[in-house]
Amino acid sequence: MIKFGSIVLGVSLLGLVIVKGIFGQTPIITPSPAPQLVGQVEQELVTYGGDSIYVPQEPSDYISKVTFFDNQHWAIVKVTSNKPLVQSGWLVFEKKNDVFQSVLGPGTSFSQDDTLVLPVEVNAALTELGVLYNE
Amino acid sequence: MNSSQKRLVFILMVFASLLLAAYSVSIILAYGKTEKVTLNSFSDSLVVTASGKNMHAEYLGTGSFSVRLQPGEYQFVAGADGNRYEKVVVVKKRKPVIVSITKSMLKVVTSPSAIKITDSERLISMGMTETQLSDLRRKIFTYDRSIKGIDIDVTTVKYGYRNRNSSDPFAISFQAKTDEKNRSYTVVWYDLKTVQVKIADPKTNTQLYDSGIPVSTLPHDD
Repeated sequence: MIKFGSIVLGVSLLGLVIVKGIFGQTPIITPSPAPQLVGQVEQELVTYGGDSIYVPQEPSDYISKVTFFDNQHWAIVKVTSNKPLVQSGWLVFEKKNDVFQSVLGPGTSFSQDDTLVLPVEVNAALTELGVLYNE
Repeated sequence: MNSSQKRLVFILMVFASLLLAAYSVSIILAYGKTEKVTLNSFSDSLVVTASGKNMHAEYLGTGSFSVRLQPGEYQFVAGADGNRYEKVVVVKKRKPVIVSITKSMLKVVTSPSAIKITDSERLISMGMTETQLSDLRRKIFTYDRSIKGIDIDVTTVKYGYRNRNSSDPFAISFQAKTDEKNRSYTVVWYDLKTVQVKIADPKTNTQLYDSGIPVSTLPHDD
């Protein structure tokens, strides 16, 4: 009985080694579902450099609040860190070919110079939020 | 070892075998649902992340590497030392994807003020104001956000004409390398704050961009 069990276990182990050898060479990445724009915001917040690469995740690391403009073609995102004493940051995204791409930020304030290329309503919203400064 | 102990060991062995088999099957299933994506980076320090539609962002790897992703549209962002590169990658089943990232694809930052204009003082000496120079950067940025800088060929800078008693605007034209591409620029202005920028390909003489007459300077009925 034990001999038979050993053979079955051995075959299973060998099978796993073979499967890993054939199918497990390349890491399989399976991103988890998230609300719209969360992934793009997380990409903007990645900390690069050396061995300390970290992709922050919502809601464990931060909370975002998205406001859309121009028929959902532009978005202003407020990012609030879960760490105390960290100022809220802002990002501006533009939808290009059905994909949101970062146009401005992340930052806590922006030069008015850099926002003149944005649509009037986005510019006005940033002005109202008080995150623009004059150079 | 008595028979009941042997039976227990046997059951444990069978259970472990089943677990291993299930794990093997899950690896095969996950493999079947994904496709290989190979990244060829010019730099070993380039960090690559991906975000799919309505998905969290994931770190894929650094430098050149391969991963497997489920079919879909992903935005890849590669970055290192303040540079970044964005690319939309479509993953389809049974169609392995190879993404090559070269140095020229990287852009430093997305901001008009980051566009470097070499020999810009030549334009200032010909009457452009600093405010207009900023507006020139903004217009170039609107034309192409990935432009890092323009290198003016000072030997080609020349005036358009201006009759102070007419409504003719000031105009300066010049050739400039724009991220290694030769481009002809015509900069026209009607006031001291804004400029109209026209960009053309000197090889084919094709106009690539016209920022249009600034709204603030358009003629209006009083």
